[in-house]
Amino acid sequence: MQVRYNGGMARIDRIRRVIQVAMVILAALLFILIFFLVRQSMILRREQVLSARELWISNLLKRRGPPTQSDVVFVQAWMTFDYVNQLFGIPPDYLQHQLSISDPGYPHITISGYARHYNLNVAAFLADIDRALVGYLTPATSTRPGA
Amino acid sequence: MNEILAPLLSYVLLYKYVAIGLIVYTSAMILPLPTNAMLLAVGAFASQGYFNYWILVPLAVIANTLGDLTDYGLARYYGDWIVRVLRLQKLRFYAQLQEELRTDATVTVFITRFAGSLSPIAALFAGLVAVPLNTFFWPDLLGNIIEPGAAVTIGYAVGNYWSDFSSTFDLFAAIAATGILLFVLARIYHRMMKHHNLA
Repeated sequence: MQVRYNGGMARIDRIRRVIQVAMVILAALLFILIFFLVRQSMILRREQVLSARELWISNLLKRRGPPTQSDVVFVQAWMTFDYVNQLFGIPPDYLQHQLSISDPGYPHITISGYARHYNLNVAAFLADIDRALVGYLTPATSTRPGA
Repeated sequence: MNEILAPLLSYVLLYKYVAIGLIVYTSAMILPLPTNAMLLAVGAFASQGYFNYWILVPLAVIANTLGDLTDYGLARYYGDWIVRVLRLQKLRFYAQLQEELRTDATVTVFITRFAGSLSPIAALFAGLVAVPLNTFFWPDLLGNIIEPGAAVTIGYAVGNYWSDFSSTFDLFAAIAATGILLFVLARIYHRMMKHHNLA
């Protein structure tokens, strides 16, 4: 009876030790994660992302104005043409004509998907889109329909 | 950008609300998808007028809750069989975990909603130890209103800069998960010590 009791106590002690070790590891992990979080927020502050975000929010509150040429950097390969058209407020057929797109799926197709399907270099195709957008958004260049 | 996130966002832009609902549901069930980062992005899309914020938030909440309820329901239905097959009833730690979940089910269910990948595990455990449906559902729903709601709202607020904030959001989720694990273990340890001292 005493042996069984001692065996049970030993098992509880073992579980307790395992929990203690797990708690120490988790506490260390928590400390490391908090360190990374602080570092991340310092990076965001240093790279002025936070101030840019504040500017964005104030613009949003003031009913954000039309996109500018600097917004072209936000275009990514995973985006669809439909989204890019809406993001920059351009007519749906503008990019289609500028880039000679004849795919029937346009504009509901991703930039990377289109480039891969027609064996185009994704980065080069993205650069073409950027140029077309800059052309549309530059006031001096009258590429806008009716401009 | 994350290798998984980019195709997810493509699907979201192509299939819109259906894709968002399916991704959030499967992620809430079991798949470790970067849902928070996706919701940040979707919030940003909403700020650009591509999605409706007032449809997004309820959709994310409902899909998340349904995913959790599926886990809970499956574990509750097959719980006895799983416990028997894995012989969990013989594990003392399982007994402690069971006691912890049953005693403080409301708090445990609620706080684990903020723990990212831990969330489906907590839902499965809640079903496994037969936490009553009402005790599971309401804290789960409340947590699910706060978490995806916060992700979509932050995305809406930061707009085009959402990707700069996604790693910060992931770090927050990881800190929450670690903190919650630590909290649960500390409570189990405390309970064991109390039993031990009483014995």
